[in-house]
Order: sequence, then C-alpha cells, then structure tokens
Amino acid sequence: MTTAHPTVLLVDDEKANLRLLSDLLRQDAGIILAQSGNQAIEKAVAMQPDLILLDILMPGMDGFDTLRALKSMPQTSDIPVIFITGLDNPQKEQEGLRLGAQDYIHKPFNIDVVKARIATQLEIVRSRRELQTLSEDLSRASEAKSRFLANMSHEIRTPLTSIIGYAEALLAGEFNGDEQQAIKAISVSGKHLLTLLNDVLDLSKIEAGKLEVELLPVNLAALLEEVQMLVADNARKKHLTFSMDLANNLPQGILTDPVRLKQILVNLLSNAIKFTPEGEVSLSVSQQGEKMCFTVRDTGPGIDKARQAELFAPFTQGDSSISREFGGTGLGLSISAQLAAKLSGHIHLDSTPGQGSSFSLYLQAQPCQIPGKYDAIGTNKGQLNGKVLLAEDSTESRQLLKRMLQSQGLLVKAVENGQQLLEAAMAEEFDLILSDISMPTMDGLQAIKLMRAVGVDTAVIALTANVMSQDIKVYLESGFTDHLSKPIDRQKFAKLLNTYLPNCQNVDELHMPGEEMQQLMQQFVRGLPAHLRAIQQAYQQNNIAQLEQLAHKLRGTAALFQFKQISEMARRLEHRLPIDKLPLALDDLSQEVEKLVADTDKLSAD
Amino acid sequence: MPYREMTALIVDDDADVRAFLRTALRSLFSCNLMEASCGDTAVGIYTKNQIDLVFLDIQMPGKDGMAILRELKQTDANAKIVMVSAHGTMDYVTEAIKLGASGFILKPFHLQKIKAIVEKLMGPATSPA
Repeated sequence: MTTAHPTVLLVDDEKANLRLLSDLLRQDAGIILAQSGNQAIEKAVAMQPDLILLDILMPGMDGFDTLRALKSMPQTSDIPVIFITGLDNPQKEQEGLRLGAQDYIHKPFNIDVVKARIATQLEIVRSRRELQTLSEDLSRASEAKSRFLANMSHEIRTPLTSIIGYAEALLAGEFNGDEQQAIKAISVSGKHLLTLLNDVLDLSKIEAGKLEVELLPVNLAALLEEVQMLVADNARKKHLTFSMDLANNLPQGILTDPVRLKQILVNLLSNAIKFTPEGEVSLSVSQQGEKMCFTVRDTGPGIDKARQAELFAPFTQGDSSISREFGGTGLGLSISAQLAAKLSGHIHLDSTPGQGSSFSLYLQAQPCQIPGKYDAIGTNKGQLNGKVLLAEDSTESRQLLKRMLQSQGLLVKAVENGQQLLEAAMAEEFDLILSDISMPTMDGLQAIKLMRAVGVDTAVIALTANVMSQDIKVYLESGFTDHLSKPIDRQKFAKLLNTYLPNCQNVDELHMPGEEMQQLMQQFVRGLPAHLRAIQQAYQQNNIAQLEQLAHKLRGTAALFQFKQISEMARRLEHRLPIDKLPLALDDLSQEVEKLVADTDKLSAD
Repeated sequence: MPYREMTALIVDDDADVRAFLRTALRSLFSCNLMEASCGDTAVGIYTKNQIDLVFLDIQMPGKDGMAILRELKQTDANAKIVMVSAHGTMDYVTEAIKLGASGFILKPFHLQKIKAIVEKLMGPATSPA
C-alpha cells in the first residue's frame, strides 16, 4: 500500500465490467479483482486496498451487504468505497451513502467522470495518510522528549544530590580534616552538571542552526594529552586498557576548533569506555591525505546494523534499557556527528555484534604553526602586575574571581553593581575591568556605555553566561573590549589576562609630592573651622538643604586630604539624619575639628 | 616630568580643592594652570584665554557646575570639560554627558586617573626637549 501507486479493488460479478474498469485504471493504480461480495471482503482484508469500487447488484451477497460487512470490520472500515450502479434509484443511492459509501458511479461508464471521481477519492486517501504519518511522527517525537526529560531530571538530580549532600556535611563539620574529598566530589558533580547543560544547549543551538565553530591553531599533541587526561581515569576505574597510537607523520599544529574537537573525542572515548565491560579502548590518530583521522576502537558488545543508523539521532541510545544502566542523555553521538559536520568532517561507524565497535572521525584540518601556550590560572602564581576592577553581583562568583585574580598577583577592587562599577572607574584608573552583564541597579551594558562616555579607556571584559553570538556583538558594539563566558574556563581566563595585562608595570600608585601634600593638609585643617561655622549657621537657620550641600562638599574635600574621620562625620550629616540627632553629630564634628586644629598648630610650632 | 603643552582651568569654590588639583597636575605635567572660584569668573577666563582643558566642580553655591557646563559649551562647542564630583552623585553623570562633558573625576582623586584623563583628551605627553 504505497502512496505513490495506490491499489484499487474492483468488485463486479460481470467480467466485462471488470475488464473495462481495469483497462481504465491500470495506468494510475494497482488493480485487485473480485467477482463476489465474499471474495471482495477476503481480498480487502488481505490486501488493504486504498479504494474499493463495488457493484450493487450481485448474486448472493449484494453490494449493500458487502458494504455493511466491510464497515463492520476494523481492518476494512476505513477503506473508502464507491458504488457502481446501473440503477437510477435515488432511494438506493441514499441507502448506500447512509451505510458509508463515499460516492457513486453509474453504468454505462462515462470514462472521464469515473476517472475524476476515483482520483478525488484517492487524493483524499493520500492526504489522510499523510496526516496520519505526521501525527505518528509527532507522537513519537513527543514520546522521545518525555523520555529525554525523564532521563534528564534523573541525570540532574544525581549530581545535585551529591553536591547538596557534601555541602551540608561540610557545613555541619562532618569531615574532620578530610574536606578535600568532599570538595572534590562537589567539583566533579558540578562539572558533570555543566557538561549536561552544555550538551542540551549545544543540541538546541544545533537544531536552531546557531552553533558556531571557531577555527584556531591547535597544538595537536597537547589536545590529545588533555583528552587522555579526561578519559584515562574512567578507563582505569573499569580496569580497561587505554592506549593511544599516534602516526609518525602527524603535523604539530592543525587549524580547527579545539573545544569542539575535544568534545567529539571525549564523547566517543567516554562512550567506548562506558559500554565496554572488559578489554581495551584505543584512540589512534593518523593523517590521510588532507584529512585527519581519529579512530576510537573498543572491545565492547558491538552494535547491530539496525541500531547503527538510529544511534546518531538525538535522544536515542542503543537500547532504552541502556540509559537506565549506563546513564547519559543520548545526546552525545548526535551532537558529535553534527559538530563533525560543522568542522567539515564526518563520523564513520564500523561495528559487528560481538566484535566491538570502531568510530572514526574524519576531519578536514589544515596543518599550521602552533601558538604559544598559556598556563591555566593557578599553575603560575603571582605572575602578573596590575590593578583590576571587578563587578559581579553574585557574592560567590565575586569572591571566587577575586581570589583567582589575586592569586595572579593582581590588585583587585570588587564591586556589586553597575553603578558602583561606574563610580569606581570614574574615581580610579585600572589596568583592566571585568564586568558581569546582568546586575541590579545598573546593568553591565548601561555601565559600559556611561564609562566610555565619561572617558574611561581601560579594556573592559564582559563576563557572561550568554554566549549567543548576536548578544556578544551587542556587547562589543556597546564598548566592551572582549568577553569571557561563565562559568570561567581557567585557560581562557589566563589567556585574556595575558592579553590585556602584558607586562603591566604601573602597579606603583602615583603619589602627591610629600612636602606639598603636607602643606595642603595643614591648609585644609586651618580652613576647617570656617567650614564648620558655615554648617552650624545653616543648622541654626534651619536651612537643611544648605547644611546637606555643605556637608557633602566637606566630605569630598576631607577625603581628598585623607581625613577619613571628618569625611565620615560629614557623610552622616549629609545623609538626612533625623533632626534631633543633628546637634550631637555637629558636636562630634566640632570636637574632631578642634582636635585636628590643635594638632596642626602643635606640629607647625615644633 | 613630561611636558604637556596646555593651559588648564580649574573651577572650584573650595580653595583647598583647587590647591590639591593644582599640585596634582603640576606633579604630573609641566603645564599652565588658571583658576576660578565661581561660574562667572570661569566663563570670563575661558573666553579671554586659550584654555585647552577645564576641570569643573559640579557642586558649587550659586551657579553650579551643570549650569557652567551648559554656558561653556554654548561659548565653545568643542570645549573639553572634565567634571569634578564626589562619590554618590551619580545622578549628574547622564545629564553631564548629554550636555557635552568629556570626562569625570571623583573625589578623593587618584593621580593615575587624572593622568589618564588628561592624556586621553590631550594626547600623550612629550618628554622635555
């Protein structure tokens, strides 16, 4: 029963009619013939035609009885029926339609009418079948997604349980000196969650056609070493032999996307390790003409031909029981295959049940010079010089980033929102600014626009969880110099710092010339009683606005000359103290002023 | 000390702040400095002299910095004006930018910041010949 070539069952007791109709329809449809009602029912059940042309007047079981029987059986009830009749009897026709016939054709046949009516019915059949296929596809997809969600929530819950469990145990002080183990478990689970999230995001980006690759010169040996470090431990835990076989003629560097290449290799190797109960997993790398070939072989159970094609479809694993036994989202291979395509390559699978599998990644990758390598943060402590301003509203992230920066020997000023960022950038000169995008009070985008407008020229890096390229374009257009995605990849972070703080020597603050500064400070102190009098006068005249303005002014000037106490007292006056608290605050200020003036007089008398 | 061929005008009602800025700028550059303690004097000095850069305090009694900024910009649309302010007066920033301010420095001043803003607006200083 194909849509391309429909089948029509012709039922008539007269052979001449059957012959005539067959000749008429042979070009457009497959023909099945029946000479009685019983025969028609038998053939309809067995061969499932797309359409039945049914004579009414037949000996024995007539057309109406046959129609009743066809409509009563689930196998045939949906097959449309057109009656053939020589009778000009509207009542009978009505009866036939009531029983479920779709249409009539009359004897003697008008060839064009017959053809048109049959074509109409077949068209309806075809549309209905398309709808049915579509609906089945949809329900299959929705089923797959439900299954995926169920898997995902399990996958997310497991590491989260471990993170929360260990964190609470740490808080409760249950580890007695063995905190490292708990912290490691939290870190591992956190990274696993991140991988999961990245998989899902990758998939949605791939499906929306938004995934981008970035071709960079890559140190092949270093990348393979990293891959090995990532998977070797898992192989060891399962007592599998893991080996790498590198051909002699490999180039030192290739031009490709290192993150994506690593992702594919780690995925293929992790799968191999996961599904191989004993024996060996190997990665061999060779150059074949202009292509690089990475082959992952295992001694696992192998995959039968029927499953091989399905493996690369999203949400599927070899067997739905597999996800229960081995975990995983069933996204890895689908993502890997699509990433390979993005890198002008493909993945070839060769597997025989019982004899293991081999997945080969073929990649178009030009040989190139290898770049200098940056050490990840933490490996070379205290190498950098400079003053960094950091804006991040999440306390944890801020502290973490601050520590990472300080460990590099950098001076760090950390603030919590865009407004504080703007103030700090206006007040001080920094060698580098790192800013989150979404922050309360003023977000990173507003802050960068204002910073650029007030003449801040420092390089500003956007820290963002949002890695869509059109958003990054907006950041760069708004004045950001560069961006770094969160969570922070330490290697990339180190590279950025090295780029924007190259041998920064300006750590030594510029200072006011000492002697002159002393004179200025003394001058300021001598002027203080006058400031104080003006403020007291404003208070006596109950001119609070004037008082606040004077206090504000005094706060700034006192800070300038490093009289923090005075500045702080002025700040309190400036910030709308309740009116009954004012006299006390004024007294405090006047005492402090008296003390400073006395000290200064003594100093100049000495 | 690098030579900076410019004349800067410091506008602040507080003599102590003017003295600080004067000392700070002299410690960074060898340049000409003029001072004004109120808006009218400032506009007068600006129109009669070749002023390259203005440091203008926002909070002043009488005509405040924003009003003076507006006036100076009307006199010379290309005037380079750095607003001087204290922390916690961010409300003025957007308005000052709209009026054409070229930069901001906040009290307490950091010399690096002053140096950076002067170099941004006037170009890098040259070493004495």
